[in-house]
Formats: sequence, structure tokens, C-alpha cells
Amino acid sequence: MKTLDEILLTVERPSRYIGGECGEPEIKKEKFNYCICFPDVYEVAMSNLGIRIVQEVINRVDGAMADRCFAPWPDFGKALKENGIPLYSLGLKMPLNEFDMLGFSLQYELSYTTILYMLDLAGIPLLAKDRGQNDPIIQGGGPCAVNPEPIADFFDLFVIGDGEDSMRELAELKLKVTDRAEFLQKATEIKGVYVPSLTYPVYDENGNIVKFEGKKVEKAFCLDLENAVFPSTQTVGNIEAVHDRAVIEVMRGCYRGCRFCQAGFIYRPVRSKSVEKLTEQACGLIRSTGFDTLSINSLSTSDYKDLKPLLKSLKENLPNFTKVSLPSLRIDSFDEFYAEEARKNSLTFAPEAGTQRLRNVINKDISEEDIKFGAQKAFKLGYSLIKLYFMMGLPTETEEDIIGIRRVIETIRSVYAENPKRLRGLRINVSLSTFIPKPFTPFQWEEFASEQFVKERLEQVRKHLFAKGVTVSWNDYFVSELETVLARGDRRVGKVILNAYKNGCIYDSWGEFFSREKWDSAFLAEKVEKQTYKAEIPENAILPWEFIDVGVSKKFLLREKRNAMNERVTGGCHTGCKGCGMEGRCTLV
Amino acid sequence: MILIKYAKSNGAEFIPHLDTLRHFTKTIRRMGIPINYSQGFNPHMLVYLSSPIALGLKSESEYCLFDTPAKKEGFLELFNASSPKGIRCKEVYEVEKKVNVAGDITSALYEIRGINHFDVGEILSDDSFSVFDKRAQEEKVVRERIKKLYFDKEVLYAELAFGNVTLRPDYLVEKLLKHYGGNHPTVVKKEAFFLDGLTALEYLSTR
Repeated sequence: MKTLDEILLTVERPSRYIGGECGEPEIKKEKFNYCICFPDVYEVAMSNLGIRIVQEVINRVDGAMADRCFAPWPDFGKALKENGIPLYSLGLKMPLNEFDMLGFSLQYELSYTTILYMLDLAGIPLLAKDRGQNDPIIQGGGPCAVNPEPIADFFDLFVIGDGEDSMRELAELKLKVTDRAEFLQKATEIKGVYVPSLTYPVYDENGNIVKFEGKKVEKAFCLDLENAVFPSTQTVGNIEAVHDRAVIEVMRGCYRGCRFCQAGFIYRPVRSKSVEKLTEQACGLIRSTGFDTLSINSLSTSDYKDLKPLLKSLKENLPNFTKVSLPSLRIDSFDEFYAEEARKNSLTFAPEAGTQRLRNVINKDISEEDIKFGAQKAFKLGYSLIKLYFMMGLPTETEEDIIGIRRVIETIRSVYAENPKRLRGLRINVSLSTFIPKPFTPFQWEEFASEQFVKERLEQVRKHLFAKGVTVSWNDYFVSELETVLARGDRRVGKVILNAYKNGCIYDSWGEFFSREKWDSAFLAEKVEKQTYKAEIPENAILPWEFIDVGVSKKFLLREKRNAMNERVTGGCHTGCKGCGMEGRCTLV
Repeated sequence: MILIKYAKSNGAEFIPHLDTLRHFTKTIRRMGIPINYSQGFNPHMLVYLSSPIALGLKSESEYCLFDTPAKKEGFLELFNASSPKGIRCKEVYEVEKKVNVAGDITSALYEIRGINHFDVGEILSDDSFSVFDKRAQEEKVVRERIKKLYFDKEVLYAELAFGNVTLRPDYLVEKLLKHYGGNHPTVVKKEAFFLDGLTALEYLSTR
């Protein structure tokens, strides 16, 4: 048997497992001990803002503390298991099974097996029904919680929506109520809380959902983002995180309503913070962390109405070594002023579809002219690498739309040729991802492309897009297929996830670990057909996630679906209210 | 310029060399003191570290040079208040010209616990004494890289070459463990010496 110190000497990047970082929240054991868990490796977890907010929310509750734990890389996980060391938290180095509650951040569906891996390493029963009075409550939250059904068997409760109020209330309740059953019962009174053992679907003999038993669940909202809890500092990773910079959240939600985009619907309504508040938070973070880069985050930062005043204010108030990074810029709002601020190596545009027709279908109101304009400005500033994001397998898509991507490339090329300032050859990187129909979008009923269909598409891609100076890349089909099943799955999919984990599946989002064979054998063993979850869903079917109200009405989603089929652009919230169901909560109306 | 001696332990021994450098640049920014940057397209902060030590080796004596007009007074306190817990400043020197912290540190003293007592003369008198170099995957003759080797009660001390010519203490410990036995040996780097075994103070006074 090896000691932890000896193990650390033998694993890759041991500083993932030692904590003690600069800016780590100061905690001690309290009456209510919570541990936020992120089912991915340290460098990824340390880049997530959501878990930092939740940690802060809990730590501000009297008598409560929040520690953190991230998934060990397989080498360390194996060593822990072999040497009988239970998975521990980074702050207090306390075994996870000694906490009162573990909160898993559900950022992407492909992290589900890694959740089981963490529970297993902590020695906690994987299924909620096998847990007893002394086991921690296992809680989930984050974007994937809007369809928690595939992982419902593993969780005692979920928090759906914004965690600012719901997590505080949950902590306060746990301080008062110690009995597990009583706590779960009472928790359902908190907005956003879903307890899978108390609300569940009833199936007919054909496997269709006929109804839900128990209380329906309403998403939790934090409407006053300006005054919402926000950590005054940020933990600086022992080793470089994927996003090694200070992060402020300018907006939550997105005005645009692109019909494929789940975030665009589940994060409604759009809320934003003031320039003053953001400047104050940014200065505090830069001062306390020592980062030299500040990232201005949101789903679509260029839609933030006071972006220019914000950038001006940041420039005036931040130390002059600070670089400001603006992710998620839109091509049509691309402006020299913003790009001046950013680094000049590559510029990313996401037209998502090659033709105007298909862009209308997905409600991405970007025109060929916008792309031309954006490119002109970019080239004038000296950019020579353009990254383009497109999707394939979108509803109504044909070969014409792939040819359309070629036209976009040609447009950008001709703009570059006219540009007198070009120093080097233009490079264009095209990334193609397979469209995944996600819950609570107007495309939630659409089918996921078949393997044959994608094969044909890729043939067309080869025919039309392969050219000098153009690099084309695409996702693995089976990874996207699995993501679809996990995103649109119901409780039956949980058995497959468990089986896949027992087969050795973890870190499925990491290409080197994803195993199609293991997953296929899990589907086979549990007699679950992937096709059930890939096929088009009839509009009158009861959807597995329909007991959750995220605030956007089904009526609106159906209307948007019709508009899509009629190739009609609805536009975003900034061009007038489209009646999505958020009326009363939305500050724009 | 400011030269500091710092300890790297309490978990920080697992932070790799380049990440340690990143922490120093962040610490300097948190301290809010002025610092000079390199010229050029991508200016970087002028911070110089002594040569890397093996990942996981606790050290009480690492050196770092900052190209800063800042003064010695209050530097230690401000540094420690701004630095990760595992990186602790222990001594501060104001120097006028650049110190080659990577090149001029030529040996280091290690404290080794958990090796059974043996006659150090056996090694010191053996000119062909060798250890297995895991990186090069070969046995290497290293006798002249051992400057000193002695026991103080049960604790073994070894002063070994460090820098351009190095003997990694873990290679030595591996060999000793094999020959003389022991129990979960641990190593701590106690002191780094400048040219011919000088302490920082002695070294600075010779310049």
C-alpha cells in the first residue's frame, strides 16, 4: 500500500490533487458541509464560473461551508482505488462520503459516466435508492439539469435553473432538517428543486410516457443579476487552467433565439449587469488574482448594450497590463473597436449554416453581407486566420447548403484578395459539428442524422470544401449520437449509463477515452435502442422533460418550429417581444 | 533588483517549474510593485528562477531574481501575503547587477531520512560509484558529483552537484535503498549553494 504522497509522485500533474491555491475560499468544517463536484479534470473544472458562484452562495450561509472536488485523471483514480484511499475534497482533504451533500455540475452530457466514477471512488452507492441516512445527498445542477431523466436514478435531487437563491435555500433547509426523507420532501417546496423519487414518469406498455406522478418543477430564476452573489476573488490554479484568466459575467441569457441553441432558451430571460458593477468586479478580480487577462463572458457579449462604455471603463480602471478578451463575438456586430482590444491571431465566426435559406430556418439572422463586412474589418486589422463554425444534419438541409459553405469561404477569400494589407496567406479553418436536437428548443422534436446521412454529407464536404488554405474538421459521429441519446433520454437510459460505466467508460468527452464498442455493448445489454432517442418525436408525445417548466412555453417552441419549416426568421428579443412565455419575468418587456 | 530565497513545500513541491514561474508573475502583480518587462512583440515579465528541481521534491532553498526597482524593505511580508501558501519567501537581498541564478548555483544539500545507517566511506572512496539515470535509461558514474555525504544521527546529508551538472537525489536514494535498505525514504532540499559552496550572502559579497 502506498501513501498519498507516494502516489502523487507517480501520477501525471500531481498539483491537480493538492489544493492550497492562491485565492482558494477559506473554509472549516461546519454544521452543513457541502462539496461542489465537477466531473472533469482540474484544468477544465477550474475554468468554470458556475461552480465558483455556487460555492460562494453556500459559504455565505451561516453554519454552512462549500469545498470542491474534481474528477481525478484515470491514473490517479486507479491509484486511489488500488490503495484504498477514498476520493477527497481539495480544500479540507476530507473524504467525499463525510460531506452532507455533494453537488455535481452538469455542464455536458458526456460527463455522466465520470459522475459515477467520482461517486464510486468516494465509496458512495451509485443509485439513489441504495443510499441511506448516513450517505451524502447527491445533488445535480447546471444546464443539463433541464433534462435530468437519464441520470435521475443516480441523484437524490436536482436544482434546475439559477442557483443563487435555490442553493441558499437548500443549504438553509438542510441546516434545519436532518432526516433524509423529510429533507427531500421539504426540498420540493423550494423553487427549482426536483426530487426524482417524488416526481416520476408513468409509461404505457409501449414505453411511451402517459403522465407524471408528483409535483411539477418550475425552474429557479435569479432575476436581479446586478445584485446577485458573485465571488470577489477567483482561485488561481496550481497549474494553468484551460481558461487561465479572470472572468466577469456581463449577461445571462441571449437575445438571439437561434433555434438549435439550448442555452438560448433555457437561460431566458436576458439579464445584464451595469458598467459600474462590472468594472468594480473586474478590478477586484484582477487585483486579487494577479491574472493579466480579463474575459468578458456571456452567451453573446457583443449584444451587451453598453459594451463600448464597459470597455472604456475597464481601460480606464484596470491596471494597464490587463488584456481584455471578448469571447462569443458575432459576425454582424464585429467592430474594429472591439477587435482592437483583442489579440490579433485568429477570429472566429459562427454562421452555422451555408445558405441564407438554412440560416433563416435556424433563425441565425446573419447575411452574406454581414459576413463580408465582418471579414473586411478583420482583414483591415491584420487578421489572417479565420475560423468558421458550421453544422450539418440541420432540419431541411440539402447538398446546396454544403455548397453554400463553399460560397462563404469564397466570399471571405475574395475579400482578403482585395485587402491591401495582407502580409501572409489567408488560412480558413472550418469546423463542422453534427446538429444535436436538444430539449426546450424549437428543434427538440427533430431527428438526429443517421450514420449514412452524415457519411454522405462528409463526401459532399470533401467534394466541395477541400481546397488549399482551408482546413476542415468535424466531430466523431458516434460521440454526437451518444450526446443526443443522453440529452433527449428518459429514465431507461440511466441503466445504459450505469452499464457503460461498469464497462469502463469514463471521460467520454475526451477522444482518447470514448469507446463506441463499450457503449454499444451497454445499449445491447440493457435492451435500449439508440434509435428511440434519435428518431423524430411526434408533437403530441409527452416528452421526458415535460414535467419541468423552464419558462419558455411549448406553444412558442411549436410556433418557432413552424417558422423554421417555413424558412421564416423570427429575430431576437432586441427586435421586439416574440412572446416566448417569459412575460412578467423578462425585463425587456 | 531583488533576489529572494524561498521555500517550495506544503503542496507547492508538486507545481511544475513553468507553472511556478507563472505564479511568480501573478504574485508580483498582486503585490502591485513595479517590475521591468522584456522588449519586443510579446513582452514578458523579467523574473528569473533557479534551475528546476524534480517534481515532488520539497525545498527550503530556491532562488528567484526580479528585475524590479522595488526596495528590500517590506518585500518579504508583502510577498508572502500575496503568494500561494506553499511558496514562502525566506530571505531578501537587494542586488545591483543581475545574478545568474540558473548558472551560478552549482550544488545543493539534501536531507535524506529513512535510509538505513551505512559507512559513507564505501561510496566516497569508490571512484566508479554509479546510479541509474531514469531519464537517460542508463547507469552513470557520478562520484565527482557527490560533494559531501555524512550522517547526523539517523539522518543522511548529501551535498550534490546541481545545475548544468546535476545528480538527482532521487536517483541516489534509489541506489542507497537498494544497497543498504530503508523504509519509505523522504528527501528535502535544505540549501542551495553558489559557486564552490557559497551561501547567497557570501556569494553576493564576492561580487
